[in-house]
Amino acid sequence: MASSYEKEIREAGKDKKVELAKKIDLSMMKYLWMANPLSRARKHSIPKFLRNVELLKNFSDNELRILAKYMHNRKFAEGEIVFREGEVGIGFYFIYSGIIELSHDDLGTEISNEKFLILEEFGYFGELALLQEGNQRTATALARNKCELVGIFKPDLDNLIVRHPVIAAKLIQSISIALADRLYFLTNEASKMHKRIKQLEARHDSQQS
Amino acid sequence: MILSNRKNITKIQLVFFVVVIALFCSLVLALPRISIPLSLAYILSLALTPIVESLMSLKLTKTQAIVLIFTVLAVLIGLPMFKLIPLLSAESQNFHNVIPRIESYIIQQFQFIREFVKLRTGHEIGDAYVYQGLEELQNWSASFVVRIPNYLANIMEWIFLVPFFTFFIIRDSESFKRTLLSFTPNVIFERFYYVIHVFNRQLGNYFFAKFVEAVIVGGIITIGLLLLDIKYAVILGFIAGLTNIVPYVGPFLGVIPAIVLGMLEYGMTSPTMGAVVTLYAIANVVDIFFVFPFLVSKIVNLHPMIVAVSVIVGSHYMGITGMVISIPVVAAIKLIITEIYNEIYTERSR
Repeated sequence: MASSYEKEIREAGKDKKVELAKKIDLSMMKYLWMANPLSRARKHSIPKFLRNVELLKNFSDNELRILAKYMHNRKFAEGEIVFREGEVGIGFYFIYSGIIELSHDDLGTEISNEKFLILEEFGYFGELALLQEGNQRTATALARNKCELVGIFKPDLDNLIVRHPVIAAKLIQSISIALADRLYFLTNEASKMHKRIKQLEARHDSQQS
Repeated sequence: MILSNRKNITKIQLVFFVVVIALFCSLVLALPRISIPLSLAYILSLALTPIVESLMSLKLTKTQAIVLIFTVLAVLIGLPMFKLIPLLSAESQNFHNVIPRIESYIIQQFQFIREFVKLRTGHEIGDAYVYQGLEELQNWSASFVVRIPNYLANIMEWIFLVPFFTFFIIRDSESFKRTLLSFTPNVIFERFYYVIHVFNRQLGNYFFAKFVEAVIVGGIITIGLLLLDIKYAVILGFIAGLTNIVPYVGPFLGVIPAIVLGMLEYGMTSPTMGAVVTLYAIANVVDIFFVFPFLVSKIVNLHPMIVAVSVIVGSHYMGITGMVISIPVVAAIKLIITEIYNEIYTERSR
Protein backbone atom coordinates (compact mmCIF):
# COMPACT_ATOMS: atom_id res chain seq x y z
CA MET A 1 0.00 0.00 0.00
CA ALA A 2 2.79 2.38 0.90
CA SER A 3 4.58 1.69 -2.35
CA SER A 4 1.50 2.45 -4.45
CA TYR A 5 1.07 5.72 -2.54
CA GLU A 6 4.66 6.72 -3.30
CA LYS A 7 4.30 5.71 -6.92
CA GLU A 8 1.25 7.92 -7.19
CA ILE A 9 3.09 10.87 -5.69
CA ARG A 10 5.91 10.46 -8.19
CA GLU A 11 3.52 10.25 -11.11
CA ALA A 12 1.34 13.06 -9.81
CA GLY A 13 4.41 15.23 -9.39
CA LYS A 14 5.22 14.80 -13.08
CA ASP A 15 1.71 15.63 -14.30
CA LYS A 16 -0.88 17.72 -12.54
CA LYS A 17 -0.78 18.65 -8.90
CA VAL A 18 -4.54 19.11 -8.80
CA GLU A 19 -5.27 15.40 -9.12
CA LEU A 20 -2.91 14.65 -6.23
CA ALA A 21 -5.38 15.80 -3.58
CA LYS A 22 -7.97 13.16 -4.53
CA LYS A 23 -5.38 10.39 -4.92
CA ILE A 24 -3.77 11.04 -1.55
CA ASP A 25 -7.09 10.52 0.18
CA LEU A 26 -7.76 7.05 -1.20
CA SER A 27 -4.38 5.39 -0.86
CA MET A 28 -3.55 7.18 2.36
CA MET A 29 -6.79 5.90 3.80
CA LYS A 30 -6.08 2.43 2.50
CA TYR A 31 -2.65 2.49 4.08
CA LEU A 32 -3.92 3.70 7.41
CA TRP A 33 -6.76 1.19 7.29
CA MET A 34 -4.43 -1.74 6.64
CA ALA A 35 -1.95 -0.59 9.26
CA ASN A 36 -4.62 -0.56 11.97
CA PRO A 37 -4.18 -3.73 14.00
CA LEU A 38 -7.87 -3.96 14.79
CA SER A 39 -9.18 -3.60 11.24
CA ARG A 40 -11.39 -6.26 9.74
CA ALA A 41 -8.80 -7.05 7.11
CA ARG A 42 -6.51 -8.03 9.93
CA LYS A 43 -9.13 -10.21 11.50
CA HIS A 44 -9.68 -12.06 8.28
CA SER A 45 -6.01 -12.50 7.53
CA ILE A 46 -5.25 -14.97 10.31
CA PRO A 47 -7.75 -17.61 9.16
CA LYS A 48 -6.45 -17.17 5.60
CA PHE A 49 -2.95 -17.68 6.92
CA LEU A 50 -4.00 -20.77 8.88
CA ARG A 51 -5.54 -22.25 5.72
CA ASN A 52 -2.06 -22.43 4.24
CA VAL A 53 -0.57 -24.29 7.19
CA GLU A 54 0.07 -27.94 6.46
CA LEU A 55 -0.68 -29.06 10.04
CA LEU A 56 -4.26 -27.76 10.03
CA LYS A 57 -5.40 -29.20 6.73
CA ASN A 58 -8.22 -31.18 8.44
CA PHE A 59 -9.98 -28.01 9.59
CA SER A 60 -12.94 -26.49 7.78
CA ASP A 61 -12.88 -22.76 7.06
CA ASN A 62 -15.38 -21.98 9.82
CA GLU A 63 -13.32 -23.97 12.29
CA LEU A 64 -10.23 -22.01 11.29
CA ARG A 65 -12.13 -18.78 11.84
CA ILE A 66 -13.13 -19.88 15.35
CA LEU A 67 -9.61 -21.14 16.09
CA ALA A 68 -8.18 -17.79 15.02
CA LYS A 69 -10.18 -16.09 17.76
CA TYR A 70 -8.26 -18.07 20.37
CA MET A 71 -4.83 -17.24 18.97
CA HIS A 72 -2.56 -14.37 19.88
CA ASN A 73 -0.48 -12.15 17.61
CA ARG A 74 3.01 -11.62 18.96
CA LYS A 75 5.60 -9.38 17.37
CA PHE A 76 9.32 -9.93 17.82
CA ALA A 77 12.18 -7.63 16.86
CA GLU A 78 15.35 -8.73 15.13
CA GLY A 79 17.54 -10.77 17.44
CA GLU A 80 14.86 -11.15 20.09
CA ILE A 81 14.65 -14.55 21.75
CA VAL A 82 11.23 -16.19 21.67
CA PHE A 83 12.12 -18.77 24.29
CA ARG A 84 15.28 -20.29 25.72
CA GLU A 85 16.17 -23.91 26.08
CA GLY A 86 15.16 -25.20 29.54
CA GLU A 87 12.49 -22.59 30.17
CA VAL A 88 9.02 -23.75 31.10
CA GLY A 89 6.85 -23.20 28.05
CA ILE A 90 3.14 -23.11 27.34
CA GLY A 91 2.91 -21.87 23.79
CA PHE A 92 2.76 -23.31 20.29
CA TYR A 93 3.74 -20.84 17.58
CA PHE A 94 3.07 -20.52 13.88
CA ILE A 95 5.25 -18.19 11.86
CA TYR A 96 3.11 -15.53 10.22
CA SER A 97 6.11 -13.70 8.77
CA GLY A 98 9.83 -13.68 9.28
CA ILE A 99 12.51 -16.30 9.94
CA ILE A 100 13.05 -18.23 13.17
CA GLU A 101 16.23 -20.11 14.08
CA LEU A 102 16.13 -23.06 16.43
CA SER A 103 19.38 -23.92 18.15
CA HIS A 104 20.86 -25.80 21.06
CA ASP A 105 22.86 -23.84 23.56
CA ASP A 106 26.15 -25.44 24.38
CA LEU A 107 26.34 -25.89 28.17
CA GLY A 108 27.25 -22.57 29.74
CA THR A 109 28.36 -20.58 26.73
CA GLU A 110 26.08 -18.88 24.23
CA ILE A 111 28.79 -18.41 21.67
CA SER A 112 28.81 -21.90 20.21
CA ASN A 113 25.19 -22.20 19.10
CA GLU A 114 24.40 -25.16 16.94
CA LYS A 115 21.67 -24.02 14.64
CA PHE A 116 19.84 -27.11 13.62
CA LEU A 117 16.67 -25.77 12.10
CA ILE A 118 15.64 -22.63 10.29
CA LEU A 119 11.90 -22.07 9.90
CA GLU A 120 10.10 -19.71 7.60
CA GLU A 121 6.57 -18.56 6.93
CA PHE A 122 3.87 -21.21 7.63
CA GLY A 123 6.31 -23.18 9.77
CA TYR A 124 5.50 -24.10 13.35
CA PHE A 125 7.42 -24.87 16.50
CA GLY A 126 6.95 -25.48 20.20
CA GLU A 127 4.13 -28.00 19.92
CA LEU A 128 5.31 -30.13 22.86
CA ALA A 129 4.61 -27.27 25.28
CA LEU A 130 0.92 -27.33 24.48
CA LEU A 131 0.51 -30.95 25.50
CA GLN A 132 3.03 -31.62 28.24
CA GLU A 133 2.70 -30.49 31.87
CA GLY A 134 5.60 -28.31 32.91
CA ASN A 135 7.31 -28.81 29.60
CA GLN A 136 10.91 -27.56 29.38
CA ARG A 137 11.81 -26.21 25.98
CA THR A 138 14.23 -28.41 24.10
CA ALA A 139 15.80 -25.65 22.05
CA THR A 140 16.27 -21.89 21.88
CA ALA A 141 14.22 -19.99 19.31
CA LEU A 142 15.67 -16.76 17.95
CA ALA A 143 14.09 -14.30 15.55
CA ARG A 144 16.57 -13.71 12.79
CA ASN A 145 14.65 -10.73 11.46
CA LYS A 146 11.52 -8.85 12.41
CA CYS A 147 8.98 -11.64 13.05
CA GLU A 148 5.31 -11.90 13.60
CA LEU A 149 4.19 -15.10 15.30
CA VAL A 150 0.69 -16.43 15.83
CA GLY A 151 0.59 -18.41 19.05
CA ILE A 152 -1.86 -20.62 20.89
CA PHE A 153 -1.25 -21.31 24.57
CA LYS A 154 -2.35 -23.80 27.21
CA PRO A 155 -5.02 -21.50 28.72
CA ASP A 156 -6.42 -21.01 25.21
CA LEU A 157 -6.56 -24.76 24.73
CA ASP A 158 -8.38 -25.14 28.06
CA ASN A 159 -10.96 -22.57 27.00
CA LEU A 160 -11.27 -24.16 23.57
CA ILE A 161 -11.93 -27.58 25.11
CA VAL A 162 -14.80 -26.16 27.13
CA ARG A 163 -16.37 -24.00 24.44
CA HIS A 164 -15.64 -25.85 21.19
CA PRO A 165 -14.65 -29.41 22.04
CA VAL A 166 -14.73 -30.52 18.40
CA ILE A 167 -12.17 -27.93 17.30
CA ALA A 168 -10.00 -28.65 20.33
CA ALA A 169 -10.08 -32.37 19.52
CA LYS A 170 -9.11 -31.69 15.90
CA LEU A 171 -6.26 -29.47 17.00
CA ILE A 172 -4.92 -32.03 19.43
CA GLN A 173 -5.30 -34.71 16.75
CA SER A 174 -3.31 -32.66 14.22
CA ILE A 175 -0.53 -31.99 16.71
CA SER A 176 -0.49 -35.64 17.76
CA ILE A 177 -0.15 -36.74 14.13
CA ALA A 178 2.87 -34.48 13.70
CA LEU A 179 4.39 -35.76 16.93
CA ALA A 180 3.68 -39.39 15.99
CA ASP A 181 5.50 -38.88 12.69
CA ARG A 182 8.42 -37.41 14.52
CA LEU A 183 8.47 -40.22 17.06
CA TYR A 184 8.41 -42.83 14.30
CA PHE A 185 11.29 -41.14 12.53
CA LEU A 186 13.32 -40.85 15.73
CA THR A 187 12.67 -44.50 16.65
CA ASN A 188 14.01 -45.56 13.28
CA GLU A 189 17.05 -43.33 13.64
CA ALA A 190 17.68 -44.64 17.15
CA SER A 191 17.54 -48.28 16.07
CA LYS A 192 19.86 -47.54 13.12
CA MET A 193 22.32 -45.88 15.46
CA HIS A 194 21.99 -48.76 17.90
CA LYS A 195 22.93 -51.25 15.13
CA ARG A 196 25.81 -49.06 14.04
CA ILE A 197 27.17 -48.83 17.59
CA LYS A 198 26.91 -52.61 17.94
CA GLN A 199 28.86 -52.99 14.69
CA LEU A 200 31.56 -50.56 15.85
CA GLU A 201 31.81 -52.25 19.23
CA ALA A 202 32.15 -55.65 17.58
CA ARG A 203 34.83 -54.31 15.27
CA HIS A 204 36.66 -52.67 18.16
CA ASP A 205 36.58 -55.90 20.18
CA SER A 206 37.85 -57.96 17.25
CA GLN A 207 40.65 -55.42 16.66
CA GLN A 208 41.69 -55.53 20.29
CA SER A 209 41.87 -59.28 20.58
CA MET B 1 19.80 6.31 21.56
CA ILE B 2 18.47 4.85 24.74
CA LEU B 3 15.87 2.94 22.79
CA SER B 4 18.31 1.48 20.30
CA ASN B 5 19.91 -1.05 22.62
CA ARG B 6 18.03 -4.34 22.75
CA LYS B 7 18.38 -4.82 26.50
CA ASN B 8 17.19 -1.31 27.19
CA ILE B 9 14.08 -1.80 25.10
CA THR B 10 13.18 -4.92 27.05
CA LYS B 11 13.72 -3.16 30.37
CA ILE B 12 11.65 -0.18 29.32
CA GLN B 13 8.84 -2.42 28.09
CA LEU B 14 8.81 -4.21 31.43
CA VAL B 15 8.85 -1.03 33.45
CA PHE B 16 6.03 0.46 31.38
CA PHE B 17 3.94 -2.65 31.82
CA VAL B 18 4.50 -2.86 35.59
CA VAL B 19 3.74 0.84 36.03
CA VAL B 20 0.45 0.61 34.15
CA ILE B 21 -0.67 -2.41 36.15
CA ALA B 22 0.38 -0.86 39.47
CA LEU B 23 -1.44 2.36 38.60
CA PHE B 24 -4.61 0.52 37.73
CA CYS B 25 -4.51 -1.64 40.85
CA SER B 26 -3.77 1.18 43.24
CA LEU B 27 -6.47 3.44 41.83
CA VAL B 28 -9.14 0.78 41.91
CA LEU B 29 -8.26 -1.24 45.00
CA ALA B 30 -7.18 1.52 47.35
CA LEU B 31 -10.69 2.91 47.67
CA PRO B 32 -12.94 0.55 49.66
CA ARG B 33 -15.98 2.20 48.12
CA ILE B 34 -15.02 0.77 44.72
CA SER B 35 -13.00 -2.23 45.76
CA ILE B 36 -15.78 -3.89 47.77
CA PRO B 37 -18.51 -3.86 45.11
CA LEU B 38 -15.89 -4.69 42.49
CA SER B 39 -14.70 -7.73 44.45
CA LEU B 40 -18.28 -8.84 45.08
CA ALA B 41 -19.00 -8.44 41.37
CA TYR B 42 -15.87 -10.43 40.52
CA ILE B 43 -16.88 -13.24 42.89
CA LEU B 44 -20.40 -13.31 41.46
CA SER B 45 -19.01 -13.39 37.94
CA LEU B 46 -16.78 -16.34 38.85
CA ALA B 47 -19.74 -18.20 40.29
CA LEU B 48 -22.04 -17.41 37.35
CA THR B 49 -19.66 -17.85 34.41
CA PRO B 50 -19.95 -21.68 34.33
CA ILE B 51 -23.74 -21.31 34.15
CA VAL B 52 -23.42 -18.75 31.36
CA GLU B 53 -21.15 -21.12 29.46
CA SER B 54 -23.55 -24.03 29.74
CA LEU B 55 -26.37 -21.78 28.53
CA MET B 56 -24.21 -20.71 25.61
CA SER B 57 -23.76 -24.33 24.62
CA LEU B 58 -27.53 -24.31 24.11
CA LYS B 59 -26.96 -21.80 21.30
CA LEU B 60 -27.86 -18.62 23.18
CA THR B 61 -25.61 -15.63 22.59
CA LYS B 62 -23.56 -14.48 25.54
CA THR B 63 -25.60 -11.36 26.18
CA GLN B 64 -28.84 -13.30 26.03
CA ALA B 65 -27.52 -15.87 28.50
CA ILE B 66 -26.39 -13.21 30.96
CA VAL B 67 -29.68 -11.34 30.76
CA LEU B 68 -31.57 -14.59 31.37
CA ILE B 69 -29.51 -15.41 34.45
CA PHE B 70 -29.89 -11.91 35.83
CA THR B 71 -33.66 -12.01 35.38
CA VAL B 72 -33.88 -15.34 37.20
CA LEU B 73 -31.68 -14.08 40.04
CA ALA B 74 -33.60 -10.82 40.28
CA VAL B 75 -36.83 -12.73 40.67
CA LEU B 76 -35.34 -15.17 43.19
CA ILE B 77 -33.84 -12.42 45.31
CA GLY B 78 -36.35 -9.66 44.68
CA LEU B 79 -39.41 -11.52 45.92
CA PRO B 80 -38.04 -12.28 49.40
CA MET B 81 -36.73 -8.71 49.53
CA PHE B 82 -40.20 -7.33 48.84
CA LYS B 83 -41.49 -9.24 51.81
CA LEU B 84 -38.46 -8.43 53.92
CA ILE B 85 -38.42 -4.64 53.66
CA PRO B 86 -41.84 -3.92 55.20
CA LEU B 87 -40.97 -6.42 57.89
CA LEU B 88 -37.68 -4.71 58.63
CA SER B 89 -39.19 -1.26 58.80
CA ALA B 90 -41.90 -2.53 61.15
CA GLU B 91 -39.34 -4.28 63.31
CA SER B 92 -37.03 -1.30 63.51
CA GLN B 93 -39.90 0.68 64.98
CA ASN B 94 -40.22 -2.06 67.55
CA PHE B 95 -36.52 -1.96 68.15
CA HIS B 96 -36.90 0.38 71.10
CA ASN B 97 -39.07 -2.18 72.81
CA VAL B 98 -36.75 -5.06 72.08
CA ILE B 99 -33.76 -3.84 74.02
CA PRO B 100 -35.52 -3.40 77.39
CA ARG B 101 -37.10 -6.82 76.92
CA ILE B 102 -33.69 -8.37 76.30
CA GLU B 103 -32.28 -6.46 79.22
CA SER B 104 -34.93 -7.60 81.67
CA TYR B 105 -34.57 -11.14 80.38
CA ILE B 106 -30.81 -11.13 80.91
CA ILE B 107 -31.15 -9.67 84.41
CA GLN B 108 -33.72 -12.29 85.26
CA GLN B 109 -31.47 -15.11 84.08
CA PHE B 110 -28.51 -13.62 85.88
CA GLN B 111 -30.39 -13.49 89.20
CA PHE B 112 -31.33 -17.07 88.60
CA ILE B 113 -27.70 -18.10 88.11
CA ARG B 114 -26.61 -16.06 91.15
CA GLU B 115 -29.09 -17.82 93.41
CA PHE B 116 -28.05 -21.14 91.99
CA VAL B 117 -24.36 -20.56 92.62
CA LYS B 118 -25.06 -19.14 96.11
CA LEU B 119 -27.03 -22.23 96.97
CA ARG B 120 -24.34 -24.59 95.79
CA THR B 121 -21.17 -22.88 96.84
CA GLY B 122 -22.09 -19.98 99.14
CA HIS B 123 -20.28 -17.56 96.84
CA GLU B 124 -21.77 -14.25 95.72
CA ILE B 125 -21.10 -13.25 92.14
CA GLY B 126 -20.60 -9.54 91.70
CA ASP B 127 -23.15 -7.98 89.39
CA ALA B 128 -21.16 -4.92 88.31
CA TYR B 129 -20.06 -6.56 85.07
CA VAL B 130 -23.54 -7.45 83.98
CA TYR B 131 -24.88 -3.94 84.45
CA GLN B 132 -21.85 -2.50 82.69
CA GLY B 133 -22.45 -4.85 79.81
CA LEU B 134 -26.08 -3.82 79.59
CA GLU B 135 -25.11 -0.16 79.54
CA GLU B 136 -22.72 -0.86 76.66
CA LEU B 137 -25.54 -2.59 74.85
CA GLN B 138 -27.79 0.44 75.26
CA ASN B 139 -25.11 2.80 73.95
CA TRP B 140 -24.41 0.56 71.01
CA SER B 141 -28.07 0.28 70.05
CA ALA B 142 -28.48 4.06 70.20
CA SER B 143 -25.50 4.64 67.92
CA PHE B 144 -26.67 1.82 65.64
CA VAL B 145 -30.00 3.45 65.04
CA VAL B 146 -28.23 6.69 64.20
CA ARG B 147 -25.95 4.95 61.70
CA ILE B 148 -28.72 3.08 59.88
CA PRO B 149 -29.11 5.74 57.15
CA ASN B 150 -25.39 5.33 56.39
CA TYR B 151 -25.71 1.57 56.01
CA LEU B 152 -28.80 1.96 53.88
CA ALA B 153 -27.02 4.42 51.56
CA ASN B 154 -24.14 1.98 51.16
CA ILE B 155 -26.48 -0.88 50.44
CA MET B 156 -28.41 1.14 47.85
CA GLU B 157 -25.16 1.98 46.10
CA TRP B 158 -24.13 -1.66 46.10
CA ILE B 159 -27.51 -2.89 44.85
CA PHE B 160 -26.92 -0.82 41.74
CA LEU B 161 -23.15 -1.22 41.35
CA VAL B 162 -22.75 -4.94 41.93
CA PRO B 163 -25.12 -6.19 39.19
CA PHE B 164 -23.79 -3.50 36.84
CA PHE B 165 -20.16 -4.56 37.39
CA THR B 166 -21.05 -8.25 37.30
CA PHE B 167 -22.78 -7.92 33.94
CA PHE B 168 -19.80 -6.24 32.34
CA ILE B 169 -17.22 -8.46 33.99
CA ILE B 170 -18.95 -11.59 32.70
CA ARG B 171 -19.46 -10.13 29.25
CA ASP B 172 -16.12 -8.46 28.67
CA SER B 173 -13.52 -10.34 30.68
CA GLU B 174 -12.27 -12.13 27.55
CA SER B 175 -11.63 -8.95 25.57
CA PHE B 176 -10.11 -7.33 28.65
CA LYS B 177 -7.68 -10.22 28.96
CA ARG B 178 -6.81 -9.91 25.26
CA THR B 179 -6.05 -6.23 25.58
CA LEU B 180 -3.94 -6.82 28.68
CA LEU B 181 -1.99 -9.57 26.95
CA SER B 182 -1.48 -7.57 23.77
CA PHE B 183 0.73 -5.07 25.50
CA THR B 184 2.54 -7.54 27.77
CA PRO B 185 6.23 -7.64 26.89
CA ASN B 186 7.39 -10.81 25.16
CA VAL B 187 9.86 -11.65 27.91
CA ILE B 188 7.23 -12.40 30.52
CA PHE B 189 4.26 -13.13 28.26
CA GLU B 190 4.04 -16.90 28.67
CA ARG B 191 4.61 -16.96 32.41
CA PHE B 192 2.26 -14.04 33.04
CA TYR B 193 -0.52 -15.59 30.96
CA TYR B 194 -0.14 -18.94 32.70
CA VAL B 195 -0.14 -17.39 36.18
CA ILE B 196 -3.23 -15.29 35.48
CA HIS B 197 -5.03 -18.28 34.05
CA VAL B 198 -4.31 -20.50 37.06
CA PHE B 199 -5.18 -17.66 39.47
CA ASN B 200 -8.55 -17.19 37.78
CA ARG B 201 -9.27 -20.89 37.64
CA GLN B 202 -8.44 -21.48 41.31
CA LEU B 203 -10.55 -18.55 42.41
CA GLY B 204 -13.34 -19.73 40.15
CA ASN B 205 -13.27 -23.29 41.48
CA TYR B 206 -13.21 -22.11 45.08
CA PHE B 207 -16.16 -19.76 44.70
CA PHE B 208 -18.19 -22.13 42.61
CA ALA B 209 -17.70 -24.75 45.35
CA LYS B 210 -18.67 -22.24 48.02
CA PHE B 211 -21.72 -21.26 45.99
CA VAL B 212 -22.83 -24.88 45.80
CA GLU B 213 -22.21 -25.28 49.53
CA ALA B 214 -24.26 -22.14 50.31
CA VAL B 215 -27.14 -23.43 48.19
CA ILE B 216 -27.09 -26.79 49.99
CA VAL B 217 -26.97 -25.28 53.49
CA GLY B 218 -29.59 -22.67 52.61
CA GLY B 219 -31.80 -25.32 51.09
CA ILE B 220 -31.63 -27.62 54.11
CA ILE B 221 -32.44 -24.80 56.49
CA THR B 222 -35.27 -23.43 54.36
CA ILE B 223 -36.90 -26.83 54.03
CA GLY B 224 -36.48 -27.51 57.75
CA LEU B 225 -37.96 -24.17 58.73
CA LEU B 226 -40.85 -24.63 56.34
CA LEU B 227 -41.54 -28.03 57.89
CA LEU B 228 -41.43 -26.50 61.38
CA ASP B 229 -43.92 -23.91 60.10
CA ILE B 230 -41.87 -20.92 61.18
CA LYS B 231 -42.52 -17.48 59.76
CA TYR B 232 -40.13 -16.06 57.16
CA ALA B 233 -38.55 -19.46 56.56
CA VAL B 234 -37.35 -18.63 53.06
CA ILE B 235 -35.66 -15.43 54.14
CA LEU B 236 -33.94 -17.07 57.07
CA GLY B 237 -32.76 -19.91 54.86
CA PHE B 238 -31.46 -17.44 52.31
CA ILE B 239 -29.54 -15.49 54.96
CA ALA B 240 -28.16 -18.69 56.44
CA GLY B 241 -26.91 -19.85 53.04
CA LEU B 242 -25.37 -16.46 52.28
CA THR B 243 -23.54 -16.13 55.58
CA ASN B 244 -22.17 -19.65 55.27
CA ILE B 245 -19.76 -18.33 52.66
CA VAL B 246 -17.85 -16.32 55.25
CA PRO B 247 -15.25 -18.59 56.85
CA TYR B 248 -15.34 -19.39 60.58
CA VAL B 249 -17.96 -16.85 61.69
CA GLY B 250 -20.41 -17.45 58.85
CA PRO B 251 -22.54 -20.19 60.42
CA PHE B 252 -22.80 -18.21 63.66
CA LEU B 253 -23.85 -15.10 61.78
CA GLY B 254 -26.52 -17.10 60.06
CA VAL B 255 -28.00 -18.35 63.31
CA ILE B 256 -28.37 -14.88 64.85
CA PRO B 257 -31.47 -13.75 62.91
CA ALA B 258 -33.12 -17.07 63.64
CA ILE B 259 -32.38 -16.78 67.35
CA VAL B 260 -33.63 -13.19 67.50
CA LEU B 261 -36.80 -14.10 65.66
CA GLY B 262 -37.36 -17.16 67.80
CA MET B 263 -36.80 -15.25 71.01
CA LEU B 264 -39.31 -12.57 70.07
CA GLU B 265 -41.98 -14.79 68.65
CA TYR B 266 -41.77 -18.01 70.54
CA GLY B 267 -39.86 -17.34 73.76
CA MET B 268 -36.46 -18.59 74.69
CA THR B 269 -37.29 -21.95 76.14
CA SER B 270 -40.10 -23.13 73.88
CA PRO B 271 -39.62 -26.38 72.00
CA THR B 272 -39.79 -24.50 68.70
CA MET B 273 -36.68 -22.60 69.63
CA GLY B 274 -34.87 -25.79 70.45
CA ALA B 275 -35.99 -27.29 67.16
CA VAL B 276 -34.67 -24.31 65.23
CA VAL B 277 -31.28 -24.47 66.92
CA THR B 278 -31.09 -28.20 66.32
CA LEU B 279 -31.94 -27.66 62.67
CA TYR B 280 -29.13 -25.19 62.24
CA ALA B 281 -26.76 -27.54 64.03
CA ILE B 282 -27.74 -30.41 61.72
CA ALA B 283 -27.32 -28.28 58.61
CA ASN B 284 -23.86 -27.21 59.67
CA VAL B 285 -22.85 -30.73 60.62
CA VAL B 286 -23.97 -31.99 57.21
CA ASP B 287 -22.01 -29.16 55.69
CA ILE B 288 -18.82 -29.96 57.56
CA PHE B 289 -18.86 -33.71 57.22
CA PHE B 290 -20.43 -34.32 53.82
CA VAL B 291 -20.23 -31.22 51.62
CA PHE B 292 -16.78 -30.02 52.62
CA PRO B 293 -14.81 -33.22 51.97
CA PHE B 294 -16.42 -33.77 48.56
CA LEU B 295 -15.45 -30.28 47.50
CA VAL B 296 -12.07 -30.54 49.18
CA SER B 297 -10.32 -31.15 45.87
CA LYS B 298 -11.39 -27.66 44.87
CA ILE B 299 -10.53 -26.14 48.19
CA VAL B 300 -7.00 -25.13 48.77
CA ASN B 301 -4.15 -26.61 50.64
CA LEU B 302 -3.16 -24.04 53.21
CA HIS B 303 -1.87 -24.28 56.75
CA PRO B 304 -4.66 -23.45 59.27
CA MET B 305 -2.58 -20.63 60.76
CA ILE B 306 -2.18 -19.00 57.38
CA VAL B 307 -5.92 -19.34 56.80
CA ALA B 308 -6.72 -17.66 60.13
CA VAL B 309 -4.21 -14.85 59.60
CA SER B 310 -5.39 -14.17 56.06
CA VAL B 311 -9.03 -14.01 57.19
CA ILE B 312 -8.12 -11.49 59.89
CA VAL B 313 -6.08 -9.36 57.47
CA GLY B 314 -8.90 -9.51 54.93
CA SER B 315 -11.43 -8.41 57.52
CA HIS B 316 -9.21 -5.49 58.44
CA TYR B 317 -8.93 -4.13 54.91
CA MET B 318 -12.27 -4.91 53.37
CA GLY B 319 -14.62 -6.03 56.11
CA ILE B 320 -16.80 -9.00 55.41
CA THR B 321 -15.90 -9.06 51.72
CA GLY B 322 -12.27 -9.24 52.74
CA MET B 323 -12.91 -12.29 54.87
CA VAL B 324 -14.69 -14.03 52.04
CA ILE B 325 -12.06 -13.47 49.37
CA SER B 326 -8.98 -13.71 51.57
CA ILE B 327 -8.65 -17.51 51.44
CA PRO B 328 -8.63 -17.99 47.66
CA VAL B 329 -6.54 -14.88 47.12
CA VAL B 330 -3.89 -16.14 49.53
CA ALA B 331 -3.99 -19.55 47.86
CA ALA B 332 -3.46 -17.94 44.47
CA ILE B 333 -0.61 -15.80 45.84
CA LYS B 334 0.98 -18.95 47.21
CA LEU B 335 0.77 -20.40 43.72
CA ILE B 336 2.41 -17.36 42.15
CA ILE B 337 5.21 -17.41 44.71
CA THR B 338 5.79 -21.12 44.06
CA GLU B 339 6.03 -20.43 40.32
CA ILE B 340 8.50 -17.60 40.82
CA TYR B 341 10.50 -19.74 43.22
CA ASN B 342 10.73 -22.56 40.68
CA GLU B 343 11.71 -20.06 38.05
CA ILE B 344 14.56 -18.59 40.05
CA TYR B 345 15.91 -21.64 41.82
CA THR B 346 15.72 -24.34 39.14
CA GLU B 347 18.99 -25.60 37.65
CA ARG B 348 18.90 -25.03 33.94
CA SER B 349 21.34 -25.68 31.13
CA ARG B 350 22.25 -22.19 30.10
